[in-house]
Amino acid sequence: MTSRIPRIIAILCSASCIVFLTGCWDREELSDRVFDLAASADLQQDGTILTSAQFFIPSRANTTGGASAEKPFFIESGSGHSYFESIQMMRQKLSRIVTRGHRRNFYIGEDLAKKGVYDMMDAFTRDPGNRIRMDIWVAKGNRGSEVLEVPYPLEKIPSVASVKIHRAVGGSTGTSYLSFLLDSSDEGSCPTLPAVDIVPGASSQRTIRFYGRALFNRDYQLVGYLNFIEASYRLWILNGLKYLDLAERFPDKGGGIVGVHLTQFGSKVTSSISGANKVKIQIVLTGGGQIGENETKLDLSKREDLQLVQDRFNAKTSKYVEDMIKKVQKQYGTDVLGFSSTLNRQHPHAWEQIKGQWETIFPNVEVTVSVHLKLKHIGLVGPALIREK
Amino acid sequence: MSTEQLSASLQKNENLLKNMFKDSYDIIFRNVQMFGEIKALLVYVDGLVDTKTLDNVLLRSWMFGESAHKQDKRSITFDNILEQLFPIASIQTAESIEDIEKDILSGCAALVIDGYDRTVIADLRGFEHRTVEEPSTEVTVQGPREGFTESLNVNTALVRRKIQSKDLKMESITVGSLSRTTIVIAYIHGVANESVVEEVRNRMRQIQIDTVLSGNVVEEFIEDQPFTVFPQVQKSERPDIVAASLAERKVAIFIDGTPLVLIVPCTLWTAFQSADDYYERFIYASFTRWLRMLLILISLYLPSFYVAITTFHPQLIPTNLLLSIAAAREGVPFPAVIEALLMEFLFEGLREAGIRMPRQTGSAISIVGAIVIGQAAVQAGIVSAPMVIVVSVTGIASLITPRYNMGIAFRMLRFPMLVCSGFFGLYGITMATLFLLIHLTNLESFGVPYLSPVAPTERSKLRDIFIRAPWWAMRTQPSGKQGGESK
Repeated sequence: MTSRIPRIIAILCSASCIVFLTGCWDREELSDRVFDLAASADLQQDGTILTSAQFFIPSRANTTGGASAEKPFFIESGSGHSYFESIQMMRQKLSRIVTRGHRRNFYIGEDLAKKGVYDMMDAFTRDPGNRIRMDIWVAKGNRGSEVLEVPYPLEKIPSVASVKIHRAVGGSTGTSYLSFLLDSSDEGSCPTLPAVDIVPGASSQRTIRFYGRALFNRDYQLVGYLNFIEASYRLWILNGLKYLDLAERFPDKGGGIVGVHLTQFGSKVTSSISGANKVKIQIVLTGGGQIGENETKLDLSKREDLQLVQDRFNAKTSKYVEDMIKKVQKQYGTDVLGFSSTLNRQHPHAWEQIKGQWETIFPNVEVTVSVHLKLKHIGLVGPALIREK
Repeated sequence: MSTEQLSASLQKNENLLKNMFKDSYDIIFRNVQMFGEIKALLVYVDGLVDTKTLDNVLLRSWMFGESAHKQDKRSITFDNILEQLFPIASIQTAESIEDIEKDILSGCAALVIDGYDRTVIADLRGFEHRTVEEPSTEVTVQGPREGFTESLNVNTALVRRKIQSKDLKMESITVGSLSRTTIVIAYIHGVANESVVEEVRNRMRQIQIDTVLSGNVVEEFIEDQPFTVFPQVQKSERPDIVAASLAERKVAIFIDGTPLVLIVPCTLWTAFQSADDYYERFIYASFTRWLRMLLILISLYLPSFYVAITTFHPQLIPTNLLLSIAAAREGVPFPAVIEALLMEFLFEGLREAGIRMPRQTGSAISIVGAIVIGQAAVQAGIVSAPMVIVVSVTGIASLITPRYNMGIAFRMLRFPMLVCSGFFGLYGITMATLFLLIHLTNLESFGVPYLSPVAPTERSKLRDIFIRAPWWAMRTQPSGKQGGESK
């Protein structure tokens, strides 16, 4: 019993050490936090940065049912000469501590993106509150703060919509911030971000649309966009595509359209370097899928007709992909196709030689694309039903 | 207490006894004449003695029966009386006043016969006791319905009926200087670990107390570590559990006057094992065992986990859930940890009130409890709805353990856990869990580690811990050589 007392004292001492040594005292009630669900950064006319954020209003979230005209969120903004300062300005208007753990979307206005996002990214990466699984978007032809203001009828919080749209069209969500950082640190390759734009919806309301991909150069400046289908081709090359719908007109076979729905994708990129920095890239894209529609006179249950469709799709798609690559090479001059890392992997010694000149080499890389589709299902009917009558 | 001997004179003996039991209205002194010849004094405690047997068997045969020795009065000796004239099963003799007193008080009838300095002690114990009923704390769906009573010999008989082996030993010991409670140490010779039996004997001998009125008294004397919330002695109301435990090399301690039998050694895993497990199909029994483990963990961690992640780590909650929680918590005046403590205390209070209050007022507490905890508090904006959910789930989970005293341990630990999480978040929960695990690995029950056979690991014995293995896989020997303890 006597030996127990020093032991208790020792336990108390070590327990109190836990209190003082860890500094683990960040308790903050939910009602003292404000949740920043989406934010945006814009360049203003006078050169200052405007940061806006969509904040959740908990007390309005409970009013389910049609009667609640009040939105469960509000937008607050602040402007300053730097990104950091603009956030400080915004904080002065907020009664609660900003918690960014649930911010899924960050929209960059086109102006700011064109000027360059290096400074913003610097502030971004230093803030531990930013989670790595966040999506950063470029608001094509618009200001980021306007995207925040677009209502979206399906989601309680409109900022959730763009993530869900992105996922619904087969993109991978929660990766754009991470891949932006990876691409920027990867020598030779250029970072990209997904892009949204605001279009008129079916009603008078405006709505958000997933546009495609925004391309940045090595100075973190926006140089151009790939539209949705081009961005899909790019993803196909990079092995990130989940599904893709293609349609092709067959003027010689009755003029109708054949649509295919692809769900299996493969991509093989091989490179070769022959003297004088002449780089050749060969891309073989494979895909598997099914016929989605057939408006032509072709009877796809016949082998030769199916083969014809496949061949036509292969040839056309190869051309489209080549066009996309040409656009990237000539128009933008940014390697967003992972060619540099392919070279680095396949010819590490040669890459050491040429990596300093990659920006001049890349536009002149000779690329050949061949697409091999395999259409496995033609649906439940052979020839188009109606034509048969 | 004097060790005075009886004398040969009946008158003297009578005075001696009457003096001893002075001022006790329930001690009956009755002068009888056996066969009209031998003077004797019958002494017993009214109410402890089965008067029907006394009247019908003893007195009637003495008064109306014919004595074989009637012709020759002198041929009736004390030994004759013992051998022939006591038509009941259990008799013995006593000479010292102390023995006589003890036997009379324990419910025997003493017959002091004129001319002899010895008495005949007839075991006529027949006091009122509860009949064997279904146990109230350990209910099974499909198992046997009999439970122990307050009467020691009924209890031992119930177990003896289940294990009809000469190896089942039942050693008797008397504890308590006033109560003189009979305690029986039961074990199966050759199966139970001899060192554990010896340890039990030793610890029982060292008990120095006036009265032993419940098993808990004995438990607190013999347990290894008094400063812990974990019980180191298993209590059971069921003969089948005691019989199974004996076969698992354990030792059972029967205490007169209590329907709970103590079983040692006891490990943490008994908290998850219910008697019903062994009366259901093993697949379902394993499933319910997992369910119990999960729910006990929930009862320990859920409130503190909720407090930790809402106040320290809201990033961990899925966004939509967070928005719902944040919306529900808006306007609640207390910090989450205070709210949780408040509700948990309230729940414990309701539970305690539910046990203590008279049955007639039972519905009052449930109505008040349901309204106060369930609705009014939420509507008034004092408590948030998610907290009510958390507390009620915890409440259900905390009552699931089949061992009542194990459940108490987990229910109590919930509060320090809650305080830790309120101060340090998940870090605090982790620290508290570490301390808890260190404590548990340190505990022993009669030389058996509290977490065995998981730590230290004995693979062959794990079959009855996380799953309830089928009988044919669990016990190849009926003697249970693979029972649940080490050393």
